[in-house]
Amino acid sequence: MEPKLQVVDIVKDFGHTLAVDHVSFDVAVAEFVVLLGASGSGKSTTLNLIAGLEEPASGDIVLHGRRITDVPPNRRGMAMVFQNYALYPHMTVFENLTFGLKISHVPSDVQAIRAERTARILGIAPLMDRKPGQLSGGQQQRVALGRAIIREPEVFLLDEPLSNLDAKLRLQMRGELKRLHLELESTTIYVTHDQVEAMTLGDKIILLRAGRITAQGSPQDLYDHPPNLYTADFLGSPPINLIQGEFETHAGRPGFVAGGARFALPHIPPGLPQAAVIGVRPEDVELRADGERAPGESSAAHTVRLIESVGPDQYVHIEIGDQRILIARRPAAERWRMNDRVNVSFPAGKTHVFHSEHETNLGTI
Amino acid sequence: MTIAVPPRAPRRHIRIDRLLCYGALIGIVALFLAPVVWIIITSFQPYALLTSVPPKIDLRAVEIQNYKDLLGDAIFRRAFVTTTVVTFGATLMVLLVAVPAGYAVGRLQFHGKASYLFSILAMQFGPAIAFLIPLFIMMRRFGLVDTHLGLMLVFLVFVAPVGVWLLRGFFEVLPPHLERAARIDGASRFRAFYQVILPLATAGVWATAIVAFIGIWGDLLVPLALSFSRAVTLTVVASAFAGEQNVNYGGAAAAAVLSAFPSVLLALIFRRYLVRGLTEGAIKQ
Amino acid sequence: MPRAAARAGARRPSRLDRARRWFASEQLFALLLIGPMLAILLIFGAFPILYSLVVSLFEWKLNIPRPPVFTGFGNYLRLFSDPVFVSSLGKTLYYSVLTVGGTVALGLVIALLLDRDDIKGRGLVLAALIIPWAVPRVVGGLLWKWIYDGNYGIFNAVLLQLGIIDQYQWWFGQSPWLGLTLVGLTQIWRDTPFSVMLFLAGLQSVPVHLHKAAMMDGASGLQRFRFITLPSMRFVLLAVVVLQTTWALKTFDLVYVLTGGGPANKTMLTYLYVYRQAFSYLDVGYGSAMAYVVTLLVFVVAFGYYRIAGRMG
Repeated sequence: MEPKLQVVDIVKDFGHTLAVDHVSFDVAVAEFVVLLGASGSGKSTTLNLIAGLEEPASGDIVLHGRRITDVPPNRRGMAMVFQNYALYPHMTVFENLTFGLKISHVPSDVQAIRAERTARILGIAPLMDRKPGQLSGGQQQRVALGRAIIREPEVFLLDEPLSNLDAKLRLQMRGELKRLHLELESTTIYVTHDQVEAMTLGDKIILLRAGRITAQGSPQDLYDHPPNLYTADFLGSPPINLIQGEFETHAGRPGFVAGGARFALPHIPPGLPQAAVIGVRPEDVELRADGERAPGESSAAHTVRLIESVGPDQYVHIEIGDQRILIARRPAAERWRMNDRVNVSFPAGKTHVFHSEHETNLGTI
Repeated sequence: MTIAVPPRAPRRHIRIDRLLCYGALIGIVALFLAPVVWIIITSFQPYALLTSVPPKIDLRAVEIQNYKDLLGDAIFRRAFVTTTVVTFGATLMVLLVAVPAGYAVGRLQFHGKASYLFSILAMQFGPAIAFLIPLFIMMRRFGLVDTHLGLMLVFLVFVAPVGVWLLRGFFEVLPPHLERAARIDGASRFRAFYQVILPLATAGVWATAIVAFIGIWGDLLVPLALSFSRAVTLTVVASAFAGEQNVNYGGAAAAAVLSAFPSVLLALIFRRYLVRGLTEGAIKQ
Repeated sequence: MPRAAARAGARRPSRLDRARRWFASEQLFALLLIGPMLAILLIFGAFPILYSLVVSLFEWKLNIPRPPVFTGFGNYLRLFSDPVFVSSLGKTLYYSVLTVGGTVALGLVIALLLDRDDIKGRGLVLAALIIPWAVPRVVGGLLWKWIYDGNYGIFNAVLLQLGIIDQYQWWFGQSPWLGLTLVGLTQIWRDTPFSVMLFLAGLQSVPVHLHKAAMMDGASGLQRFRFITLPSMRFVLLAVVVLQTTWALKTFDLVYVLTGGGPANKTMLTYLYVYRQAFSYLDVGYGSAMAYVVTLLVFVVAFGYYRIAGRMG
């Protein structure tokens, strides 16, 4: 099937810096695509380019196979939710919702019906006569969403819509966004710097770094098989443990040596460079008290430096030489204490190996 | 005098210096208003009382003869009409020019913005007389000297930059992204400006209007330089009283009161806008 | 961007695309909006100021039906041998220092009184203060002319009552400095309310928590004024000084009404003298030369303050 929206090799420069550097991706009908990245990665600029609020230096935006690069934003049929909502302060909620309809000369009785329906979906029906200044942050957020939904747009663009909400509300709205997306089957492009939002909401994540796409794929795929070190590091909280060192087989036992610490490995696949960075997710780190060491495990015991309890789990910070810390995410039921001596091991198939210079994923062990 | 700071000192001290403070303020207000009150009284007194030494006031002798004389004077009546027409006309012209320009410099990005702003500021600071001489020569050529239109155009030149500067501040402080939201909602650039942004900046438009009005109404230099009979304004008429050998103080007082009245009245009515306009325009520089 | 060319599929916009984009761009929209103002600036601002430069190089009198004669810098040279002009510069300087000092000091005092949060009726005081400011300058001049009047003025009457003088005086007929001081008092009366408004806005923008912190550090009221209030207000202070200075340099209405520059040019301020030359004697060549010098003066002052502001950060 032909993709609904295509971003074709777009470039945007602000003076000397390339904000968006040859970015291309497709968005399928009813797909929820998340543009994820740190600040300055070009994700918001990309969204603005799609909306038509910025003009690309080169490249194209294609909607339904039609090139819309030179179509001004008011004729692209897209809707957008802004980070600060950008509600019209002098208009009531009703007027905010129907402003776009009014401009496209939708008859006023139809406006009223659609406004009523939208308000019902979002639970803002009682607020219709208020002005944005009289609304709470969450309510403003709903009105901003409503303003987008009511127009039944081709594409929804959302620019960090949850970042101004408090933690609890954010969680609630996140769920609601997902529900709305499934209900309306809307094609959505969502910009965020929050990997949790990206993982929970997206059908597809596009991870941007310095204006370029560094990874794209389904959230689970990117999490399980990050194509590079940056992606591995960006997704997941607490972040993946990254250890720089060298592979080494000592007395017939394969292992990885980093700054005095040695980690046993089940095997060393052929063809790997000797020096590399290995990455292990905190939930994949296994711990055993010193003394119950099984054969082939880490040769030296390490010390537990800190324990953070997060309810069902605990984050166990373990010093692995040179004051570097490795974090293990263990069930709360396991009884770890500060200054315990522990042995660390990585189960088979969970250790990612990254090239120490190119940072590409070389495979898992 | 004690320095005013928000947190309060102990109660007992406050009493005394609060009283002093009130006293000082009352004294200051009295001092600032006294000349105004004095001229109003003067304008209602007969000539004989005005020329008494020491000055005398007789409230039983209040009369409106000075005003009758003044309003019977065709020159004064014409000047009143001229001033009204020119002030309203020029203020309107200033708004028509300054509102879009103020919006552009306040919220849009464009090449040459910095030098544009600089020239506006220079125009504001530049002494009017330096522009007036060449303008006078130019206007003589086009027959605009001593006409309402000529005066309005010159006021437009001097006041519009002030307006742009002022409005810029009002537009700048509005929330960001509003135009973007409007554009996404399907509005053209122009529609986003007049339907979304402009309604939010009405305070700025009023402030500009009132600042322009007072400035134009009270200006002497421009009409004095450019008008001599048909387009003479109130300020010129008022200044003419001062030139006489033996000043007709009763008439002068009545002329002063009448020519100040509209300006003062508007300033009081639109006080809030005026104060905001003045402070915002000045501090933004 | 050499990489762009290397990549297949990198579609560079054609000239037509770029033209179409420009017409839809913010640039064009901004240009349309500033267009009228820009035209005014060019036609009635830039052109006249250049034109007056030309005029200043001619002996050009509008009351003589004779074509202008090119004199080069003749008018400028004439300026410096014109005793009235030269002495008017000194008088303008005195007048500026007096009125700027007066409006700033008095304005600050009144603003500080009004800024106290235990004071009621601030709005009323401000409303009263707006009145002198809204009165046209000419009218203000007339008011005070009547007060200073040598035959019937209340100023004389009050001073006589107080025993300061033993007979009525013609105040403006005496020393030029006395005359200018009285004109200056009128300007201070009229312009101080403006300073009050700005200072009050400045004072109210000083964060309260700074004062609280300073109090916890043991600062006295005067110290808080010196170390918190003044530094926080430095830009407002500068703005007031700049505006009042340029107004003082451009003083016209008041001195025109109160003294007319007389007697015998004793109270002639530069700005008034320019007006006299250009519009009373219609000597526009000489007037333009003088106007140029005044313009230069104003911009030197404005630029000087601007530099100070730059150094303050």
